[in-house]
Formats: sequence, structure tokens, C-alpha cells
Amino acid sequence: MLASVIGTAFLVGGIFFFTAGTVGLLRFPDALTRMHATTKCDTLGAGLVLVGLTFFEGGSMYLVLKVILLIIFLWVTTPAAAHYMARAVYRTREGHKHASGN
Amino acid sequence: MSRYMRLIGWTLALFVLWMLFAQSADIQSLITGWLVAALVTYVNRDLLLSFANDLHINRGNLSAWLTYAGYLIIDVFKASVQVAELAFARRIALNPQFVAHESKLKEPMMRVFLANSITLTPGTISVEAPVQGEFIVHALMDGAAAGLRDWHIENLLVEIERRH
Repeated sequence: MLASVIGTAFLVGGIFFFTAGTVGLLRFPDALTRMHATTKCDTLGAGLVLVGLTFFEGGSMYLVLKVILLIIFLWVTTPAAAHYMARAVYRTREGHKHASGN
Repeated sequence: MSRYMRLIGWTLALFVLWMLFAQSADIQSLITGWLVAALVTYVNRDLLLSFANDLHINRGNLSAWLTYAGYLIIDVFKASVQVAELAFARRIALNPQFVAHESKLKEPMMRVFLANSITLTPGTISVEAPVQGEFIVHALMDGAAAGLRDWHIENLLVEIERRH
């Protein structure tokens, strides 16, 4: 019972941050500001959902270790992907500035 | 530790990872896991050997790495709450800008950690993270990048780099 309550709290938290990220993606004005929304909120959202799921599955040692590995993997790859996309946007903008003589 | 022993260590680590995900200890899983772990280690031997060195993971630095992980988790929470506040605000008050940041870190791997940390913390995303020279950071609003000056996470990474 307690595990379900804690698990649900984590899941609700995760869904809240996923929703915030999506709303930010829709409302923020340009590519780079939208990336702030998706990168940060999705990273935390995914982490919270994964932690929440371990409570529903009984929290076996295997599962906890798997979830920790998945969270580490997400927290390494998400910012790396965001960095590459941000760099592409930045270089495209800078390229346009140079091309137009600004 | 010799190169050979370190490669065995990597094979063992990958094998443990295989067993963790396979969740099965039958003979087929054990043999396949060991063969795959050995093959992956062999193909990536140069990368794996330099990777362990570059990360500076040793007994002396373990507490610093754990502190770094703790700080990062707190900052990811702060960053997500900040973005959620902005996303749900009636009027979105942003002043996006690019800011140059001169890092004290010298080693490429530590600079990668800094770039990742910048992206996961409130109001900033790393845009350019060169091996040498200034980072270019995208900040959501005035003052977001000011926190990068004398930043506790960067100071921790500098400490880890210095101790090596």
C-alpha cells in the first residue's frame, strides 16, 4: 500500500514535469529556448517515472540497479543530444550572420 | 595494473552488466554474455583504456564524484522547477542570450562533464564546448549565466582534475 502511494507520487511528479516540458516546447519562442524546456523537464520526468515504477514492481535488487543504470544513461545522453542540437542551431545562425555581413 | 588486467576488468564489468539486463543465469546466457563482453572489450580496447584514466575514478576522488552527483541532482530539480514555472506562467518573461564562459578545466573529459552539467542546471545550455578556449552558453534570462562564475560544480570538477 505504502509502496503504491510513493510510486504514484513519483509517477505524478514525472508526468507533471513531462507536461511542463511539453507546454514549454509549445509556448517558448525559438528553438534554443524550447530546448531548455525539453532537456531539463524530460530528464527529471523520465527519472521520476522510472523511480516510481520500481515501487510498483516490488523494488527487487535487479530492478533498482537497472533503473539506476537507465537514469545515469539518460542523464548522460540527454544533455549531449541537446548540446549537439543547440550547437547546430547556433552555427546555422552564426553562418547566416556571416553570410549576410552582420 | 597492467593493460591486460584492466581489459579483463572491463570484460568482467560488461559481463556483470549483461547478467543484470539478462536476469538469467543459464549456461547459454553465461557463455553468450562472456563472449559478447570479451568481443566488445576487444573492439573498443583503446577507448576503454583511456576512458578509465580520463574519468579520474579512484578511491581519493570517490567522495568528490558522489558530491558532484548530489549537486547535479539538486540542480536538475531546480532547473526543472524553473522551466515549469516559466512554461505555466501567464506571461513568459524571457531574455535569451549567448554568454561566453571561460572554464578553469583543462582536460577534455572534465570539460565534457562541465558541458553536461551546464545543460542540466537552471537557465543554461552549453552551445559550444571546445577542447580549449571559451564555452558558449545559451542563457534563458539575465543573470542565469552569472551563476557560472565561481560555480560550485565547476570548482568540484577542478578539484577532481587537480587531485589526479
